[in-house]
Amino acid sequence: MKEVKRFLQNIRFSLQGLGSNKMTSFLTLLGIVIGIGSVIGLMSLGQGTQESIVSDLEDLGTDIVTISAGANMYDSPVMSENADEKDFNQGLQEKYSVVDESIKLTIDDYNFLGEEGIENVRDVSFTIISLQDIYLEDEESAESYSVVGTNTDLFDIYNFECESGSGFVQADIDEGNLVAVVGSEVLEEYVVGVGDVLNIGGVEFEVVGVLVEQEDSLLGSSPSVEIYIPFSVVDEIGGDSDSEILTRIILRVEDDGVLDQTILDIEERLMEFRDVEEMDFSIFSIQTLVDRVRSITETFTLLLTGIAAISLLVGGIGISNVMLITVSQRTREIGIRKAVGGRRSDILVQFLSEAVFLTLIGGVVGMGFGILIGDLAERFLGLSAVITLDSVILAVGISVGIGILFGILPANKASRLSPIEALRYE
Amino acid sequence: MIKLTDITKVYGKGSNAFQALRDIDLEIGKGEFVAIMGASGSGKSTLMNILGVLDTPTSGQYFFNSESVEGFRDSKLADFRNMTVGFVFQRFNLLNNMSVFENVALPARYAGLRDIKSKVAESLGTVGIEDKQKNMANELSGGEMQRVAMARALIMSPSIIMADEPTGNLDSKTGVEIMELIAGLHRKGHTIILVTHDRYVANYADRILEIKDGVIVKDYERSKEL
Ligand SMILES: Nc1ncnc2c1ncn2[C@@H]1O[C@H](COP(=O)(O)OP(=O)(O)O)[C@@H](O)[C@H]1O
Ligand SMILES: [Mg+2]
Repeated sequence: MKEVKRFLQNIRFSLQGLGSNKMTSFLTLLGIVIGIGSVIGLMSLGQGTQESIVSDLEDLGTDIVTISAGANMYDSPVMSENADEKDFNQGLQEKYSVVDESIKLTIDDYNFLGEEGIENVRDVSFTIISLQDIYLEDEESAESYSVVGTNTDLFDIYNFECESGSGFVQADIDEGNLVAVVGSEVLEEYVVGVGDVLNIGGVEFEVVGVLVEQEDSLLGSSPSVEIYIPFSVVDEIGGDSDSEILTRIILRVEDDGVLDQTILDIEERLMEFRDVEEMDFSIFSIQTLVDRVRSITETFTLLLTGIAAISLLVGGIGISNVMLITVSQRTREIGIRKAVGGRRSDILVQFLSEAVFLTLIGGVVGMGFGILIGDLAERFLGLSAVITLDSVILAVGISVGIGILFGILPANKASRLSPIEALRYE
Repeated sequence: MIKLTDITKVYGKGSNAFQALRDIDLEIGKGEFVAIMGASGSGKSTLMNILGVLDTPTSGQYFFNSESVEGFRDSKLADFRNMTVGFVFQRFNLLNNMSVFENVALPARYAGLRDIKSKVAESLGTVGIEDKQKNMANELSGGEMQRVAMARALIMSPSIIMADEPTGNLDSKTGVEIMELIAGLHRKGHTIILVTHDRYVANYADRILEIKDGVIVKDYERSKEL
């Protein structure tokens, strides 16, 4: 009982101390608040950026696997130089007129993958992509668009929906009907609708469906600006398109949790079927990209955290200066307290509790400050912020560390002095 | 009540070592009023600090009521300073940014006493400044500060009051007032140990110890000397 009373008395002393050293308390608090606020704010921005990129990517479908000819197709200039439309189109040209003409994906590869029944593979489709000049009826000027020859399964795989009309059907493929489904942004200024006629590379197609508007993808191509036609008619339009030569094979898996294994299975079986020693095709999945983006943004978050930690350190040095200035005052106080009956343990409890109160208040206010930073960045800079437990633990850990380092260590040292040494401290 | 044998105090180490007290043997009985006199730097404060367990001797024995202080743990030493001794310093040593009330109450708070309000009022009454309770310590004059320090020294009703140059920072009129208060405490039965370099101040005491270079050179009753 007596110990409890004594303990509570020391807590009361600590509150008294905070109240009577307002300036020191305030400056210390300010340092902690800024430090914690910036750590939480910056980390939440890093985390938020990562999650928004990852979720953008995941919207493209983490259950989709794409196969293309050539071992290194994603090194093509399309990925890096798509800033300017001209470069973009040029890149597209280079990309699809496969550099090594001898390496091709064919309809046989597609048929094999469709019939082989590889575990976890649900749907298989393919695309034959070419760049075509598109004329509207009665119009002179042409614009280039990618025209995708495919089968009906692609619509299932990508969950395409039409805002008007519908996708083409198996009968269109079998009968070689000249029909097209267009992305919502195709020829926006001309306004294309169901029933309109599109001149694709000199051949007239009837628009049977317009796709629901899609979010822009990060992959350089987007369904919104593409035109889909039955693969059986690609031979009829200009260019070097061939209904036997595929640009990509697209697969959808049942369970994207075991995607890595499925990709390995596909690699192995397709190499065997194509009878090659080294992979002459590449397999790509959004998941691969997500993983890569994660590791990049993690580095980014780490960088932000580093910057925040430095600011915290600078704040800490500020705090320590304030503390050092008051150390002589506080040491004399410790001397006085010991001279009138304060025990070493009393002094420690009092100063520990002062530090705990300061870091606690500073921690809570700093967290609010950090959340505010994230919120403002979200609102005015369009960034996204996510508060994670990690950042909270780190920030609170560091602030408690600062509290201990700069608050308790000097007090502990002073409490070891004899009362008279503490009183003599200048 | 107090017995010192062969007490020495060495400050610093090695070539910096300085012997402030040499082989001090001393006995002080209950109810005595002892003045420790000597020139500046002679070791008066060092001796008082050891008597008040504010500092530890380098060697020698300190018995309080026949109990060796050497074996006291930190908490027992703290309680000794809390309940047995009351200190008055030349520099007052108040907590400047706290009120007079909290300064005087401090020892009683460590002791966990009840009814602190009336005890503070009583102590402040004894030194004659009950009306300043709510003032901050740093708003007071030197004389008032020293009265507050005395009220703080008195609140636990210690048997011994130790005062190190209590009038050193005061003008002579205020000094006399403080000395009258101390003399009054002695009449009430407190043992007084007073450190001073001032013969007029020492004259309030019954017994005078003269110290020179860390050695007690004279120890006499004031009345006999006069
Ligand atoms: N902490 C210390 N470190 C080193 N020397 C000290 C210390 N305290 C006192 N001294 C020295 O010890 C001697 C006695 O000091 P003190 O007891 O304060 O003298 P007085 O109170 O008689 O003036 C002086 O020479 C002083 O310089
Ligand atoms: Mg002195």
